[in-house]
Formats: sequence, structure tokens, C-alpha cells
Amino acid sequence: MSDAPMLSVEGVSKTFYPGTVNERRALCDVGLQLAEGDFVTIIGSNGAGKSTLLNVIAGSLSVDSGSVVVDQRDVTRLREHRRATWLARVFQDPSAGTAPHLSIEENLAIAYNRGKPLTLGLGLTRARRAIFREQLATLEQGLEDRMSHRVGLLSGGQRQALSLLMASFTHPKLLLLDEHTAALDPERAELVLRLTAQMVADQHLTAMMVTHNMDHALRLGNRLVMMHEGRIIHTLEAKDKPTATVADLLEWFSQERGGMTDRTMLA
Amino acid sequence: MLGAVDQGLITALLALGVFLTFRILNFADLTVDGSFTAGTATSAILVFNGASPVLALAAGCIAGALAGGVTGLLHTKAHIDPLLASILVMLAMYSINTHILWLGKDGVKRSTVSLLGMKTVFTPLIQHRLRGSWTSVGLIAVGVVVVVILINWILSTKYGLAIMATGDNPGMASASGINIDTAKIVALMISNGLVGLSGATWAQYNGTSAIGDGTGMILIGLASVILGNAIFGTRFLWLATIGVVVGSVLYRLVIFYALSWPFVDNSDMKLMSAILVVLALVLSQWKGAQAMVTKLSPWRTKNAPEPMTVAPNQFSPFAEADAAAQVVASGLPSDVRPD
Repeated sequence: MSDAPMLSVEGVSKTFYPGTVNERRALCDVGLQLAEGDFVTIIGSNGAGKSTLLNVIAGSLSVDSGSVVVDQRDVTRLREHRRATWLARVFQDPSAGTAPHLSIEENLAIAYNRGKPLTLGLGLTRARRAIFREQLATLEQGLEDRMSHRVGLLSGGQRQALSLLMASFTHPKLLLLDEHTAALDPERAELVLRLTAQMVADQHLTAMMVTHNMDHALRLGNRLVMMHEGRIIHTLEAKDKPTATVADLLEWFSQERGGMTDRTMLA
Repeated sequence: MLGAVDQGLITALLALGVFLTFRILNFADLTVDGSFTAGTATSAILVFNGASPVLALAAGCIAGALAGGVTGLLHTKAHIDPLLASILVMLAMYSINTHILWLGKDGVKRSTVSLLGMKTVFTPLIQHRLRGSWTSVGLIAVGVVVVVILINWILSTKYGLAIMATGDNPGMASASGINIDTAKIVALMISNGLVGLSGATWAQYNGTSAIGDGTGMILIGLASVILGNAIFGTRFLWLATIGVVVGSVLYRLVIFYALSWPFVDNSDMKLMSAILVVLALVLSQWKGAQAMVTKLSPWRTKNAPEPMTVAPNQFSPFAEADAAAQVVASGLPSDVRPD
């Protein structure tokens, strides 16, 4: 493990619709560092800036100020597709992370090529199909026997499991999970969560997971970050996280938000 | 009648180009009318000036590709809506094509170039009175098959998959490290290159090129794609591309038949084309016709759950807007939707 952080976010600010009545400060001077192998869960109420932070790191949103450094490489000015060499994401919407009219194997081929040049070599070869089949089997969804099926025919849970596989395929320096279980029923969410924990552990990935679910936030990862109104208001480090409870989190929330009730926060 | 098949095979190249943008890239590209004439004009003027006919075909292809590239640049770099960007290029191409037609070595400013008696790729066929025979159908078909194979090969490469992903889910493509701007420009250039090649061949086949050659060609391309996809489905790429070729030939045959009616003459052709496209669009929405097509096509029955309902929408010039709306609604990050 190197001393330099895998991800370093420094002084990042982002304001939407500046200078209009709708002006909203989504991120205010946010700083965060992840060491190699860190798995940080991020919680916060709606509009806290969790997803904006992920979007800023992934490059789908530009920053107003501050910097994003991945593995000692300043990526602040790089566009999303360039950052994809080092970063992989799973979106909240199961249909966002896959191409619905392409087959499972075609989707996997695209993910497999992340960070490599797009050549005129064949996208799907026998060797690659064998790798895909093997990897799909680890999802325990029977997808390895449906590789030529269109992804649009899969259920939300299956698509999310596939997205997760596609994201971790190329051993990204950083895995970004944006409420990736929020659109699923509890049973599917549990499955995807289990796969997530397994993949991050097996491949020793550095990861960030945004969630609304405090229980998930406490169960997964070695660190926890709580956000509110564009700022990081509380962090739990590796040594403290195992003993923290949902009650603790609610306590911090109510300290910050004063009059708000627990119910509002959970919504 | 075989002459109509010849023509249908030549416009099949154009239809394949339209298939690439409308179906694969999900991009409502109206550059076609301009890039087709760019192909006919470039090809005709080169032949007129005594250049090699084969070289003239290649030049027509390049002229079309350049027009498509400009549409791509306007869309990706100047952020102009696909429909508007392509209409702008279509308009601009009218002037450019006029100038191309003025490039005759004698310096005469023609709006029509006739290739009567000049050496084209079809001269050997004409000399043996084989234009519009099974021989010419066979020879042109060979060329079209080569293009179909090329398209299928390109789309099966890593870059081809990137183009397909860009059309299907741009957010996913971008997050997978694909430069979707470049992918769009490349696809538009390939598509309009095919359209230009179609135009270049068209001019040499018919022995003439005029400034109005491309008018309404986008409709012919669309009609071919709709007809072909309705019969052959879109599940398998190679079948879909063959379907587009068949659709193009069918379209020509229908027009050929319609023109043989006593009260219809050549000037009614555009009206006929428009009516045919409306019929194809309406029929492809009609469940009865879908069931019939499914019944008649053995390869479709295996894929019964194929959602045909998306088909009409895909071909609407506003499909791009719909797709964009879906992307926004699907929660992809964008500056409009902050959190």
C-alpha cells in the first residue's frame, strides 16, 4: 500500500444556476481522501450533495473550484470518458448503466474494453466469451446461459448485478456506487449489496457508496461520511465505524438539523 | 422492371446509411438529401472531366462523408440539435453542390450534367445492352453484399460496439470510456459516405446529375428501413441490414408499379414516396400487420416478445428528442438535474 491517497478531493465547490433565483450551492469546500482499499459509505438527506460529489469525481459535472486527484493524477479538467480509464460507476437507475438493445455479452465487451483503445479488432472473441461466462456465473443469476439476450429483457436486479460486474471488470482504481440499490425491492437490494461487498473485498477495490439506507451505510465499508447541505458534517474512521449504530447517526443528524424529526431524515 | 431492381440496389446503399444513423446511432439525420447530391455531382463532374469512373465513385463517397462530418461537428461541438444541424448542412450543401456542378472543364455553369456517351462504370453493361438485365442486377448486388458485409464487420469491432452503445445509451457509453462525440462524428461520416457512394453510383447509372437529385432521398431511405425492418426484424444485425436492402428494392418496385398506372406520371413520384412512407409508418403500428409479419417470417417467431411498439417512434424525426427526454428522466447526471 502506497502512502499517497487513491482519491483526493480538495476544496471542491459547485453551485447550480449561479446568479439566478434558483441558485443552489450543491457542494461547499468539500475535501475527502481515500487510501487504497478504503470503502467509504456516504449518507445524507436529499439535496445534501452526495450524488453531486460522485458526479464531480466521475467527471459528468465540472467543478467551480477545487481539485480531484485520482492515484496522483489530477483529473479535474478531464472529461468523463477520459476518467473512465481509472473510474467505474454503477448508477441508481438500473437502465442507466447498461445498453438495453445490446446483448449481455456486447455490454460486457464494452465494459471489458474500458480504458483500452477502441480498435477495429473484434469486440467479441471466443476467449472473451469464456471470460464473460465465467464472470457471469459469479452473479448466480443464470445470466451465463443468456449471454446473447438483450439486456433490456433483464429485471432491474439482474441489470444492477450486471452493471456491478461491468464496473468491477477492469479493476478500476475507484468504484463509484450511486444509490445503486435504491430502485430495487428489498430482496434484490440485499443480493446486490452482498455482491458489492464480495467484489470490493475480493478485488481489494477502493470504493465510494452513496446510500439513503443507514443500515447499509453501517454494514458496508470501513469508513463513513455524512453530508448535509453540500458539506461533510461528520466522518467515521475505520477504528470507530464497527461500533457505530443507527442511533448514533440519527443523533448527529439531529444535532446538525436542529428541529428536524427522525422521520424526515429517513425519508 | 429489372431496371427498378438495379435502382433499388443502388439506393440500398443510401438506405444502409440511413439505417446506421436512425437505427444504430438514434440520430435524426437529414443531411442525406445534401450528401446524396454531393455524391451525384462529384461523381458526374469527375466522369465529365474524363477522370476514372471508379475514382469518381470514391470521390462521391468522400464528399458525402465530409458533409456528414460537418453535421457531426455542428451537433457535438456547437451543441446544435441533430435535426437542426442536419437541416443546416442540407441547406448549405445546395450551394456547394451547385458549385461542384459548375466545375466542368469547359467552365460552363450547368445545373445538370449529362454523361451521355462518356465512360462510366456501367459503360460495358450498356454496350452489351445489359443495363436493367439479370446480369446488371447480379453485378450491383455483389457490390451491395460487399457493403453489407463491411457494415456488419465494422459494427462487430470494438469501435463498432462503441458506436452502438453511443446510440443506445450515451450515458453508459461515456461512463465506459467512449468519446461519444467522436463516435457520433465517425458514424455520421460512415453513414453519409454510403449515401454519397449511392449518389455517385446513381449518377453514373442514370448518366446524369442534377442539383435536385437528392430532394426527398431521406424519405426513400426511411421507407426502405421501415419496410425492411418490418419484414426482417431488428434482432439480428445482419438480417436487419439485408432487410434494409430488400426494403429498398421493394420500394423501387412499388414506385415502378405505381408509375405504370395511366393517370400517374413522373412528377407524381415524390407524392407517391410520401404516401408510401405514411403507409409503412401506419402499418408498422398496426397490430394485425405485425402479427401477419410474425407469422410469415420464421426467424421472427423465436423472438416474439420483440417490442415492435418502439418502431414508429424510432423512425420519427423527433426520436432524438424523445431519447433525450428519456435520458433526463432516467436520472442520468446532467447540469439540469443536480442531485
